[in-house]
Amino acid sequence: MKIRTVGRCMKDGFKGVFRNGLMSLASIGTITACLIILGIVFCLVMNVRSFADSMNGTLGMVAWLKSGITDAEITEMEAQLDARDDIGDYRYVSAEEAWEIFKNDMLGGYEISDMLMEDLNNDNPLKNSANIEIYPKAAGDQAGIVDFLNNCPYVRKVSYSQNASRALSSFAALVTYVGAALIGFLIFIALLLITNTIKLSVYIRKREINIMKYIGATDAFVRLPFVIEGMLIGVLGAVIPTLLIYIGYDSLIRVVESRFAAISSLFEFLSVGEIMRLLIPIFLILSVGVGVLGSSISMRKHLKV
Amino acid sequence: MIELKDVTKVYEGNVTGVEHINLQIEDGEFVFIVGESGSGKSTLLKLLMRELLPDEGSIFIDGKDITKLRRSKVAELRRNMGIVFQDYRLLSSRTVYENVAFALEVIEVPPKKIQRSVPAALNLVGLAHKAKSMPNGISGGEQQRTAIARAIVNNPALVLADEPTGNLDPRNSEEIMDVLDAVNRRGTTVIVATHDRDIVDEMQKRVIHIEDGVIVRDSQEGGYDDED
Repeated sequence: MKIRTVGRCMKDGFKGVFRNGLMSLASIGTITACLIILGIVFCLVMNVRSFADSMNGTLGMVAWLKSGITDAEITEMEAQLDARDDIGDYRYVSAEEAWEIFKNDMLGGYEISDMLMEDLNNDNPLKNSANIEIYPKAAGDQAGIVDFLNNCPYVRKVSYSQNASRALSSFAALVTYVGAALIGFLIFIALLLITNTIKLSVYIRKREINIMKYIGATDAFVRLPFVIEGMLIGVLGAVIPTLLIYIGYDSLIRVVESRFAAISSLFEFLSVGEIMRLLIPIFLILSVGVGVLGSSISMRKHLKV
Repeated sequence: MIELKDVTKVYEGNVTGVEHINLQIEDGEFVFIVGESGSGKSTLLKLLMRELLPDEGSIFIDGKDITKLRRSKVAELRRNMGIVFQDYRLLSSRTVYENVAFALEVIEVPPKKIQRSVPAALNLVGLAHKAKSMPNGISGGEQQRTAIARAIVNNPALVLADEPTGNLDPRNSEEIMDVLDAVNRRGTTVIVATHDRDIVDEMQKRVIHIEDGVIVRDSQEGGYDDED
């Protein structure tokens, strides 16, 4: 197809958007509404997933070591942990270190006589508490590591929070699935509307299309103005949601960070830049895709002349 | 050359369009296809313009079986034929000139060539002076002449006209037939489907008579009801 023809088709496509002003506006409005909801769901899904990922680091487990374990045995066990690729990090805590931590964390506020403290220091109450804190790379790795530790001859007991890991993984999955279903439904609605708008446009130009086909116009030549019209409706429908999500999300983060410090200390939001980097291409692909698909569906019947 | 070999078309509901049609039309011929409404004239033209596909048989145009053409090649086939309809099918928002030029625009002819070809076509149909008129500002006969100009502007080898005088009075009908005759004299094959006895009797060209989808008469020269 020649550049001159593409230019002509683009002009026709633009004309089409304005010719069916109200229907185009309805389609743009629906796409706008769909993409706003999609954007909100997307922000939620992305943040939950990011939260789940960041929580993996805190889904640590503790391998309590058998009493009387030697330094050589600890070194061997550390070598085994190093060899595993599902472990993000680990830290050996000796019985003495455990007692120091306990003293600082738990007894710091109490007045304990020097004599008692000396007795406690000499006879470490946590002498059986030598342990290794292990952090999996991902929440899903936890089960495998626990299994390994349970079979390790130097480990007396393994403590871990099975429920937290499972709950977080399944919550992230749930949000993703519900989000995907909602987004799918919205795309379907947008497709339905845009198809109807283009159908109206095709109906208005039915005679012209019919003549074009008899004169020897190719399907691509007949279809292109309507595809461009669909794409334009899609792109116009994506502009407002992009701006709204950008401004809305940015403002939300600022408000939460300034007024609800407790939340922001627990949870770090993805930056507006990180969200938009993914969201803008998704918006564009979806809106243009829905426009092209909608116009192709509308044209099918009229090209069979 | 156009050749139909044992062509049958049956519509949904077992309605016969045409049945076992065998036909040859040489290049440069002027042919009337006559018959009552519903006899199969339009079906025959639609088969030739590849709007319909036959259920049986083959249709050859210049040695190519058009029933085996891919859909994407139909546009190419139609660029070598001009089609004229009873209802003119002009674009009411475009001038006479623009309607004719439209036929070249959609097949991506360069603008300079369009500027040369359109006046020539309008001259041939005697409408050069109406180039700037809108279709609803000219008579039915002039609208049909515009449609003929659009059909011939690309110098097609074949013109198919389906009831071209169906909406016109006798004087305008005669003018249209004169124009089609002029087109034919340039070497273009012209096939006209009609049930207008007067114009067929007047022209004395080849007449193919169809009844209930079957060719009942094929005279090389004659009137509507002449016997061989």
